Amino acid sequence: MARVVKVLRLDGPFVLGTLGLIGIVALWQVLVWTGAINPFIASSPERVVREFGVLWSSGQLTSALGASGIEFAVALGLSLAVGCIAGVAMYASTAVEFAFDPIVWFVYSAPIVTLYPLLIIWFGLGRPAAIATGFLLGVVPIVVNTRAGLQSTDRHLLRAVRSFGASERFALLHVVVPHSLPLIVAGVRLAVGRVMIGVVVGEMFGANQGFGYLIAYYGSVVKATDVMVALCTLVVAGIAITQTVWLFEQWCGRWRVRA
Amino acid sequence: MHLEYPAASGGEPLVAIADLSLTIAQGEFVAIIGPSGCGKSSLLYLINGIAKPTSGTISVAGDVVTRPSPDRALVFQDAALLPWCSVLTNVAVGLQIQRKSKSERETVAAELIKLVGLDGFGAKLPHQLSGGMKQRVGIARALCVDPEVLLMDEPFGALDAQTRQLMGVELLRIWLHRKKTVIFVTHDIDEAVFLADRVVVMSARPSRVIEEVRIDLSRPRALDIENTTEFLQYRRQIWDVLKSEVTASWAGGA
Amino acid sequence: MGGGRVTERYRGLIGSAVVIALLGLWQLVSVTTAAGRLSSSPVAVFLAVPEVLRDGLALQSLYSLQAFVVGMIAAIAAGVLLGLFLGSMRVLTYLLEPSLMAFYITPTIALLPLVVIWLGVGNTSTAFIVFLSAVFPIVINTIAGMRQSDPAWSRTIRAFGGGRLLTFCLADVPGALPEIVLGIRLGIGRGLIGIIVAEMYASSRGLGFLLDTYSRAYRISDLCVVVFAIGIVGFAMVQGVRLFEDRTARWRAS
Repeated sequence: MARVVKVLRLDGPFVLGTLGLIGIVALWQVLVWTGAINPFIASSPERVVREFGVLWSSGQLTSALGASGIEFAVALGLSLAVGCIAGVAMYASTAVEFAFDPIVWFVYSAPIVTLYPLLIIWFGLGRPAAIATGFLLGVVPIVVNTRAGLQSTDRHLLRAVRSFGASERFALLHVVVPHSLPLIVAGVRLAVGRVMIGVVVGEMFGANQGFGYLIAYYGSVVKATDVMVALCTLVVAGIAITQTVWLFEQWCGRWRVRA
Repeated sequence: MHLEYPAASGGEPLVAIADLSLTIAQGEFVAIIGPSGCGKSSLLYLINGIAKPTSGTISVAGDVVTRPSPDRALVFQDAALLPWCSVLTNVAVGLQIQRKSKSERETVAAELIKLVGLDGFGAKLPHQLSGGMKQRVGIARALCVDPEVLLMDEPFGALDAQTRQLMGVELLRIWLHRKKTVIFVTHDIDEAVFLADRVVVMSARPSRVIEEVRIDLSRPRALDIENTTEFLQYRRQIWDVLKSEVTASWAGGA
Repeated sequence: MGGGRVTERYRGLIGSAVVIALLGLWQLVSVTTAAGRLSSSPVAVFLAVPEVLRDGLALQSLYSLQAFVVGMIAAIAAGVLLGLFLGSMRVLTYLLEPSLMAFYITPTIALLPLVVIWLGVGNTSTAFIVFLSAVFPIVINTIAGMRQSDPAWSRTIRAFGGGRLLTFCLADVPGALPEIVLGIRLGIGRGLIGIIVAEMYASSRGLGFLLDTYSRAYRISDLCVVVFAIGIVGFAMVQGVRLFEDRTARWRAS
């Protein structure tokens, strides 16, 4: 039990944070009761909880989870694959790095959402465009972090290993990769949030399944509570995934010297 | 076994070593001392093979050095241990590079861990060790591959003065176990005289050998030898030579 | 890795070459394939510029800019103040940080329909979305900046007798500045996305509205012109903040 508490960092800050969250939710409820917030627009915690049950049993939430989940997985998978390969390529060759740099820059700075109409044309309305949006948003932190992680490898370690006659391959596998792993996983963690947003926004504008669709639909018929339910479920899922990746990131970097 | 290199020069427009010739006998403990930045470390890297001389050759036991090899193992000032690996794995790294089997690696490494006095620390990670302990792991790692020459680059430079002295005694004890040729770079005269059979003094950049002092103190040596007149004489001798070089290197902006 | 000094010069060359190559590829694809024909081409986009300008690109840009600036200023003011306040007390930070992270992760765009109901169609809604999108990265990064502000500085000021407020102003705030500016940069990025999407959905003016109109009418070339315009503006803003960020970070020796 004590070990679980330690690994999951269920300590003071965690308790306070949870209290804070509960506090905000409670504040929300109070403001609704006192009439400061119009529940028609912003709903209220108790309605959200009740409606959650309704939506869950009707299967809407599960099917939305399934639909969005698949899109998220595909988009993230693509981001990981392309991102890692690009990151490694940019690390291995200066020419590639120079060549890809402006592209990476562009994809990072340009508001991807503005390209959305173009994406619809290229990939089709709905799910394909949502996946494309998610991919474009998620690939950049992975590329940037992979390259930075690989480049940040301690030169002293490489020199030490080489002095024993190690081949480049050995150095790569046994020094560069373990050293860069925490940073790469950090990139994945950042990508998770961005992919989620990309997929959901993509769905909002043209899909007929998934959380984005739910949010857009209920928004259009002004059912604030249902919008909130979808939103909250989304946020909880997002936090859960991000935190899991974060835990893995901490494990990968457990040898890091605490400054 | 002889070590011989006629001349070597490192770097681009920066001439690190101008014209250096040195011969070292097998089993000899040689200390190399010189002002900062005179290329003492570069010398070791040249011998190991990880650095290439601009001109001249280095040969060990008759073979010319062309690439880095565990036969001329290096011990670094900052230990350079892989932080995610245990002490055991770190010590065995050299054997791992040579594709030895896991059981063989672990047995040899365990032996060495005991030799350097870290018995029981095999599973620890580097960040759990003190500076002196990390250096001992570095030494064990170098010895693990049974090198012909042990190259030590100011290994105790980062340690505090007391630890440094004790590590010196430890090193001699370990050395007596396995009589290797040792080339030990340092900027500490006391350390050099205490440890070595012969002290080689290098000039400031661009460096050459300017003096070689034979240390005729009997072994095994204990720390109190540092108070004897002979020791102080050697010390004086070396310092006199070194003084002018250090001032010269200051003037040169080292 | 790589060539180092000589190849640095080629960075601009290769980068530009790649961009030109991609544009060329685009042109080729647009002429040869079916999907390509629908996706316009660099030439067509270039030719569409005057038409878009006639449609009132400048005017719509101004509308967007208005709402954007209002939302951003509100977000910066509220975000930095809130961040400084929360960051100054450990307890408060722990209490509210997870909630802030939750808000940060929420796609604010999802709240668009509700915001429109509340604030109506038009600039107020869009400005509010900009505010919501930008405020959270700013708060979170300000708090992070406060947290990693070097305690040595505040200790120094206190040692000289400075009170709580003075320490805060002279040590904590400047120490957090780079992080704050980073947060603002991230906020601008998000705010930009926010304004465009908000206008696509909830406004009859502005660049987002223009995008939406062109999109529905399948006027892809005009669409691309607007996209590039937005891209350039966004890029300029981010670069501006980057320069400022570098300047504030320069005094940090690390």
